[in-house]
Amino acid sequence: MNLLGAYNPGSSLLHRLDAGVRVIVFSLFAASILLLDGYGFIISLAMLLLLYRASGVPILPQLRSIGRFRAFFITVFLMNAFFQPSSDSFFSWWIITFSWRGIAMGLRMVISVILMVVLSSLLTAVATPVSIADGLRTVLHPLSFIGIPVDQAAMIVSAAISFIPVLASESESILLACRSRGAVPEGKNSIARARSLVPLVLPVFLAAFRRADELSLAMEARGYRGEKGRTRRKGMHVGKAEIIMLLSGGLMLSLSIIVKGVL
Amino acid sequence: MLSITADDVSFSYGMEDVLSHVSFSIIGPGKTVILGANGSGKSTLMKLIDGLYPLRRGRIEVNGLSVSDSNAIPAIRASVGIVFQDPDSQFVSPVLEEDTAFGPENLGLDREEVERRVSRSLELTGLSAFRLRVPQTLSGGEKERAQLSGVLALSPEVLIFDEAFSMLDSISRREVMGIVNPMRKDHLLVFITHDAEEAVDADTVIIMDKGRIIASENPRDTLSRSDLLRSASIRPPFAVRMRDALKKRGIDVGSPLTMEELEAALWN
Amino acid sequence: MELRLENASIQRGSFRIPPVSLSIDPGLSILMGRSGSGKTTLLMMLSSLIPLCEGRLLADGKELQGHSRRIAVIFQHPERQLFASTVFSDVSSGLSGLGLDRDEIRKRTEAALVQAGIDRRKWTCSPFSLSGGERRRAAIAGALIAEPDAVLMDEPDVGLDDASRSFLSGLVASLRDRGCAVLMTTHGCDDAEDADRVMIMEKGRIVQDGTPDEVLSFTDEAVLSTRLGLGRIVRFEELADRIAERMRGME
Repeated sequence: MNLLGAYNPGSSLLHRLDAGVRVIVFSLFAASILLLDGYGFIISLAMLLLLYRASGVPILPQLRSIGRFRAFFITVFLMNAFFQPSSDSFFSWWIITFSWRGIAMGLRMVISVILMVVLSSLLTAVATPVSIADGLRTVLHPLSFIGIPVDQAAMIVSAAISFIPVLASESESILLACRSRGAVPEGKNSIARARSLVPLVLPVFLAAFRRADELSLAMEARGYRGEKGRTRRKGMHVGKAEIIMLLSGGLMLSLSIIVKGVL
Repeated sequence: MLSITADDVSFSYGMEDVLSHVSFSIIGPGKTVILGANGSGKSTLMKLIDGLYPLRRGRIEVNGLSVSDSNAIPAIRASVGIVFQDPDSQFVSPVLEEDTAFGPENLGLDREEVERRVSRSLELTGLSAFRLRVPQTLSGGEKERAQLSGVLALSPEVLIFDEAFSMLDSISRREVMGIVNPMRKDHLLVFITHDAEEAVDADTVIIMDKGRIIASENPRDTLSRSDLLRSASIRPPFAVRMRDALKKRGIDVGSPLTMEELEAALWN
Repeated sequence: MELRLENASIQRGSFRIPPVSLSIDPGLSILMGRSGSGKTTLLMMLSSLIPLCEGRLLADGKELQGHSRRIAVIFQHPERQLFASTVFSDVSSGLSGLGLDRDEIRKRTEAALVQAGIDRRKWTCSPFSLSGGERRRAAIAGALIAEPDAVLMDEPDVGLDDASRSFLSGLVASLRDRGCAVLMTTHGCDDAEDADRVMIMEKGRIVQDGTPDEVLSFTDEAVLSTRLGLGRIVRFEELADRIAERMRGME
């Protein structure tokens, strides 16, 4: 229940932030993570631990759910380790090049992705999809003047976020049902198991479409006819809490720029 | 004026007609029950009434507005509230008060009015204490009430319940009905169901079978006709079944619809 | 098969079932309760599909480590789990991995499809070309094709049309004859009057457990019979007989 997309109610500073400010703050932290690749990731990790602590959202379940996707991360790592062209390699044959550089790149990529996922999970844990959409809308509003459909894009993002836990639980039930019919071989043969999961994509897709269909019908029945004309939340409100977080975000970003320059 | 009228409505999803030449007239306020088995077309009819599906054959008017008139659709949607069967696919937000606000926000009302309506709806459904809760984590009965709050926030004059309480146990059902029943005095309530017991206290019962209306009268003239109900794959109310069983055994107890009427007819 | 939970507990998300010891014998057992009472979770504990937090699950006295195919689970809306390209291959997939030869698989699949009342011509079509009721019957046939000794069904009668309803009762009857342990969760009381055992759950615990006569106090039949002073009668026809008797006696 602590996957990306699951809202975790609370009353911490992060929960109470203005929607628009929160989007900006998280963007600052995200930029810091991207800049702090390499050994700087220790700083990013410390920052994340601090943020989780401050919000009251438990971090261990997030790490555990990332652990469930280790096959994905291992693949990303291997793809980098073995396919990164480098002059200084252990051995190279055809397109395969195994080198320190490749290993380093692989590790950096995997770590960056993991840290970003952990940060995003925190955002979806402290903010409902509606408030993330509101925040995006407020912050990106200027772009609408040059023709970019900001409102609709924000709504799509928030709908997508809210569907992640729904699809996760549907997939879980479909997988359980198929396992009970013996359609998924047990045991350690991962390749056979992976192959047997392929036909399950269809029922999961159907479940997704069915849910989307029901939800859109319900939204229409409740009067939704697009983003135009909808009551908007009040504009950005910047109080003490917002200033604290904006300063923290700014500080973090400056720190990461410095560290990047130094290393 | 509270009314829903249909005139020679037919509808199909593909090859076969799901609704054939359906005509009826419901005048409110009051409680109407549309009774039909799965596949009788009752849910489709409801979706046509709210303009959710396009109507090509026949006419439907809600409070005098035609569902085929696209300019009238927003007004129709604002005056018709639908409570669906599966609450889990209805919530648009993981915070109850945000979800309840969805309807009024769509109407473009100003912020204070939206807040007022949210508070009032949550009070009506007894969920004020659950404002900040995640609707999906509520119990079955509470979820239905949460859905109801979202719908009531639109201040609709017509309320349609599409098999809304079929998943609930009897205690939760009684709780929700306790909130809904009093509304029949000044709203038009339409219950769509396959459970004949729910139709016993209705003002009008409309029975549907395979896309057609086969009866449309008061409860006593419809629900006591067990042959009619069975031909539409509907199980008659308990009191009616018992009356039939006793008649087979040579005992005549008249025409009771409820347990109380049945009891009164026995031992007398 | 006798399925037994010994001091088993589970925690799924925020939902917890405290340690429970329970034994399901051959015959029909019904599990009733409000939504959120834990019926489905208890059913999953008996399924051997998910690990228990504490305690153990035994089948005929032997502890089960992981999933056993002798226990079949039929989830809500089984028709949503169809995934193969033809009706035939979907139903026969239940027989994979059992070491049967192809002829045997084909014979059993054909028999199952015939019993489910699905027209021969549709067997090589996509599962999605079947009607709703046919799809559900095919899904159930597929789940039961390996002839399990225990069948756990989660609200199997929700949203069923008439043909499928009679298929389901016929199925349950033949499973009982075969000596299977069948456990069904349900909201309503319809099937409960013929069951061997009825359990009622509330907030994760079993609060009532006994025969239909002992447990069902809130059905229309039970309420009426009690109010008429006839004691508690749970079966409809029996109640009608007794009332008729009384009325005739009073004339």
